[in-house]
Amino acid sequence: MQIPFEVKPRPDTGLWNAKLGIWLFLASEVMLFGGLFSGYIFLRMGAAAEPDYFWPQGTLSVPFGFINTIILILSSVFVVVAWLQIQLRNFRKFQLWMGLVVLCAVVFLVNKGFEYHAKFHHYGIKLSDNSIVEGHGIDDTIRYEGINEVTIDVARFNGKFLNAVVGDPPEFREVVDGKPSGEAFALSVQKVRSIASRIDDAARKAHKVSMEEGSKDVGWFPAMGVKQLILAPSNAFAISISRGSLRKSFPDGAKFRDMSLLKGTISDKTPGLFLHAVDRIDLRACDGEKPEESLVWKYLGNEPPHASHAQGHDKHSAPSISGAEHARRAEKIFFDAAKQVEEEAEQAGEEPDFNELRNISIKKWENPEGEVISSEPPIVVPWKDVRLYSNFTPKWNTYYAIYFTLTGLHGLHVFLGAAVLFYFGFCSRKFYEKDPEHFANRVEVGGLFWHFVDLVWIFLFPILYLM
Amino acid sequence: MEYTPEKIQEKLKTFWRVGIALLACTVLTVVVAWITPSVAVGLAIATFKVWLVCWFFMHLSNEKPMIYKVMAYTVFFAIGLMFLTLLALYDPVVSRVAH
Amino acid sequence: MGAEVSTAETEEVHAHDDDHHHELPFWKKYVFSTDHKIIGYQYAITALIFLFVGFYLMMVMRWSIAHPDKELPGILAAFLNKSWLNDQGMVTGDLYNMFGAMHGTIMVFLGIVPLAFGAFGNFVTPLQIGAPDMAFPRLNMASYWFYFLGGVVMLASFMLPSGAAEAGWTMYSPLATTAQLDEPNLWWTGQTFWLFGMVFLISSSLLGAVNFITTIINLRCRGMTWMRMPFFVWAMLVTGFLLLLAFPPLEVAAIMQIMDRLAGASFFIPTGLNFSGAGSVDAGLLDVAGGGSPLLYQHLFWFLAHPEVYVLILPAIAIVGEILPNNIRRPVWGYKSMVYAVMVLGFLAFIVWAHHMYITGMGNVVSTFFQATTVIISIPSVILLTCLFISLWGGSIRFTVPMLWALAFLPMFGIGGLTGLPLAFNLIDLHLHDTYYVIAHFHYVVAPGTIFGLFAGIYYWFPKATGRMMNNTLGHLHFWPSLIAMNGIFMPMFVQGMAGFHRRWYDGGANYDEITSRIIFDEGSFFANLFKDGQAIEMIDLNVFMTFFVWVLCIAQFPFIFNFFYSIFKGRKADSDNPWRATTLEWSAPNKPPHGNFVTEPVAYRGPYEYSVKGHATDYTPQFERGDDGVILGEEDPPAAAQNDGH
Ligand code: HEM
Ligand SMILES: [Cu+2]
Repeated sequence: MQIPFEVKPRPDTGLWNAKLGIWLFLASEVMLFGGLFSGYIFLRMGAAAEPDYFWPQGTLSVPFGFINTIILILSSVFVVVAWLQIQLRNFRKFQLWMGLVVLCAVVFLVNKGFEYHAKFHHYGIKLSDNSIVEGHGIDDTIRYEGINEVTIDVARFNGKFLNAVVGDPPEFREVVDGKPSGEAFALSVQKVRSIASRIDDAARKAHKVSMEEGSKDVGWFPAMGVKQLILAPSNAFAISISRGSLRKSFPDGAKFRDMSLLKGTISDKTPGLFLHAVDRIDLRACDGEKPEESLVWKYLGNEPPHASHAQGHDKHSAPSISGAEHARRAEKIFFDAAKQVEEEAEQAGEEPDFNELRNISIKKWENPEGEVISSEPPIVVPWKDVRLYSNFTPKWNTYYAIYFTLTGLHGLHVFLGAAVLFYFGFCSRKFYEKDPEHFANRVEVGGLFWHFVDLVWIFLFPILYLM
Repeated sequence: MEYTPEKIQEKLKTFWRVGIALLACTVLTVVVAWITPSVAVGLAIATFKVWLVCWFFMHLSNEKPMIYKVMAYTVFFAIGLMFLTLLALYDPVVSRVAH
Repeated sequence: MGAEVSTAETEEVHAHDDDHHHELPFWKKYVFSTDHKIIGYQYAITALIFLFVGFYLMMVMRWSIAHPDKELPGILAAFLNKSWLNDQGMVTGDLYNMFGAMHGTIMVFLGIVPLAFGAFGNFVTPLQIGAPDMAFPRLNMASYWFYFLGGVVMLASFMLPSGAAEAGWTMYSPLATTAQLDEPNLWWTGQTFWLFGMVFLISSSLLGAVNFITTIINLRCRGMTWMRMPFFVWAMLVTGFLLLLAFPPLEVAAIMQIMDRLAGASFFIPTGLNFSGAGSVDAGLLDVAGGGSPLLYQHLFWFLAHPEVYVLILPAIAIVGEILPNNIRRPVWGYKSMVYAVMVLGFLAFIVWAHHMYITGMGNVVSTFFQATTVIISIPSVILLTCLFISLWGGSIRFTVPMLWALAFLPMFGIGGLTGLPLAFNLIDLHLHDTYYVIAHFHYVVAPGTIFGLFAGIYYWFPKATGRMMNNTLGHLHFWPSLIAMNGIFMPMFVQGMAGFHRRWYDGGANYDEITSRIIFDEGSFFANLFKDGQAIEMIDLNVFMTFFVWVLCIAQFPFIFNFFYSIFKGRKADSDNPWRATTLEWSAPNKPPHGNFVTEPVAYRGPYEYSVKGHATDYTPQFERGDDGVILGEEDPPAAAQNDGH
């Protein structure tokens, strides 16, 4: 059986099947990226209406974006040139151009990789008064001491918290009616299951008795089985763990992802979240009237007592200057820079730009006298004042969320498109020789897809990098 | 369409010219954004570039009516999706009352 | 240039192909087949199974609504995880939510669309336009397998410790994003599985849509001009466009929700969302940035889901549009207006979506806009229905089984559509939104509407697919109880909905006395005596009534299941390739059409519904019958060129 119009166009529509097919597919792609763009617009406009969220404009590296744009445009030209070589039935040249296209795609993706990498290693901390500090070298180790009670959720318990225990895990005993009872045992998932089923059976038996006695008021709602177990360790113990892997941390306890709740106090060794080198301070959303009142100034320059904190980050700062000195410089840069912005605006007879006034890179600044000051202060934010912290990933704000979603999906398209073009270029010789016209059609279809990928990037570049 | 070698040479030239125009536009966007971060200008240039790609590289200059129809239909709804949702965010009546 | 493939060539190709055909091993012929008919059967079987799964979930829900304080009957409890029930074997609120969400999802995305578009579309469309197969047979296979994978993911989610998704079939954020957050591993939750399952289903639909549209545009046989296409094909074309353009935004929504759940993003989570209340684990502020918009999710979702409701209904209308003229032995009235109406529908369907969002606090202007478009879109819907109704006038109706279903479809769809109109108005919707009225509205369209249409289609095309007829008596046994039960289930919902019954009460309103204890029939009245020993009948008692009919409906499906399998092997043989004496091209292909479909090259000589043409020997003149009056395109003229440009 032969499907008609696979190669030659149908006379009345003038189209061969795959051409129509790829355009229809592109139509759906237009809607896909249209939906994403509409999400972008929606979030950005929505951000404008939010009092304490500022769309982070211009935080991406324009040179990177620029180079990638150039690369994609060139690859688009190469694709059409390659296709023309097939029309000339010149397979070698076609392969050459196709190779260049694939090369472009690879360079593009590698570039993207660098860009992502930088974002993954850049952190932000939002303080409880909505001030923001940015920088790198984070340590979110949190240590709880004197843990003497553990509540676990039977169904979900996965034993992960045992890995965080400092030293050897203790043995546990069940707590019944507020008192530890029974034998001490080593905690494991199986052990928890067996205790639970023992209690479950007892409860079921009791329930049966009460039903037989005709007591009708057992509500409808309680689901079956034991939900929680309270355990007491043989001796109080400590855990040390990255706070990011906890479900929630309280001043008097830590809750793990599997709902295990450990009661204890935060150790003095880890009084707060430590960022090794702050490079930007953003006080636009800060609650206080004046930027001077921000909590940032209180904590900037502090260094953690815990030795392990500074590990590996030394190379970032000059060891001769203390944290406090760094902080002093940072403060000076921030307010001098702000003053300069104000003065410049005054001279021009305009309102100073709020974004420049309150959101300042403190890494390096040249004052009007030409003196260069640089600073990279450490900061320790007490846990209670940490509202949110994250690297520059979708979690940090909606901008990075849409940035990663858009560029990630686009990158996936680049990857798939390049794979297909590679296949045409380097694994399809036989097919070409058998039916060059059909092959040319395929290349055209692949090319159309590739142009679309380029076209999406042409929009992405200005809206993500420039405006 | 028949592809004679002359025609192909001609096309080759056009494609390179369009490529250069695209590169020039890219430089232009960056320069303009550096002078003034105007969203409208940035989008206008991007739209022009997209038009170049579609018109020449994707051969829309010389396409069949069926493709035009499908794409026009699609773009219409893509734009509808963007602007109607926006309208839902900013109600002209309510915002007029509020200000 | 004339047509590419001359008759001789085709035959040669066929002959060659048939040899080849026999060599195919079983798994290639029936499992990884690229034949559009086999794929159609695969879709049909899978979708029917899912329809029954969805039906089962609904029975559990209806039980809970009618008898919130009674143990779930063993026959229903047998299929579910006992720990989902409470300690007295009753349905819990959580279970109800899970089943409710999955009922909707399964019915819409895994049941009806695959059956209507995947199965009927695949089987019938190429045959009706005289094509040997779909334009991209391998893509077609891929769509089925994506669909299958999506289904597997959805079903697998029931096995997870968290159970399946439970935030309603619409999966509104932030509810859906924050549901099941208490699991240690968020990848292994029903909510997340749902999202990934949807990504598969969406991919399947997109590939399918590309394939259908290309096939219809490019693979029509000689003489099959636009205006000679059966209405079914038109509907498939429009449905294809709906899927093609509406699904991507849902894909965006799903991807964004995945990011929210797994990458900690806050696309749909507003600033300062306080997370508390029953069932939540970490009351207090969520550890997210915020700044997102729940409204954005709804926009993206409904941008798909309104067109999706037309995807649900158009194939059914189209099937009825084929069966009616065949059984009244006259052309459909207003073929052209139906074609234009369906095109207008395909256009308007994209700009009415926010009528599902009136009470979200969108602005007035937008609401007014969407109210206007919604009212306008009812015009083409009414045109379709009216054309079908008027066609009946003066026809000599044959009450065959497919015809019974088709006839019942008309008023059922009518009720469903007309009750949508009040909902279109902002003010009325304020009262009716999220009540059982809405549930009744769309179930009238999809349950006694679409599903009846699909049953009609099964009975109608069964002989083409198997060479045998389905049993008539069993057909009647299937039809009449189903008709009565459907109305018994859905009609009271209008009453309850207007009284204010909320659509997601798992106890049927037992805890909302003020609304639900309103009296319908007084103490001692006739019905009170009949049903409740003289006690007054309250609104809430309707729940029991409806649930009773659910059982009736369930039992009424047994004759169908039996009939289906029995007739495949033992049914009466169809007397010819055209047992219904129909006019469209699929009836020119042999029953159980071979790979490649037609034995001789199919040519359309005339319009699709030439019944009772004066002076013709029989009361039907098939499209493929060559006659003096038929314009023969494709031999003298280039095929169809003139007609096409006008379109
Ligand atoms: C005459 C045309 C129709 C009009 C004016 C109409 C109007 C509406 C409106 C305004 C709503 C929203 C009600 C609310 O949530 O408060 C609605 C809900 C719904 N309609 Fe229709 N409708 C029409 C036809 C259809 C058709 C043909 C279907 C096909 C299946 C359908 C399926 C649905 C569904 C599934 C919902 C509820 C979705 C949900 O909230 O879960 N409607 N309709
Ligand atoms: Cu709707």
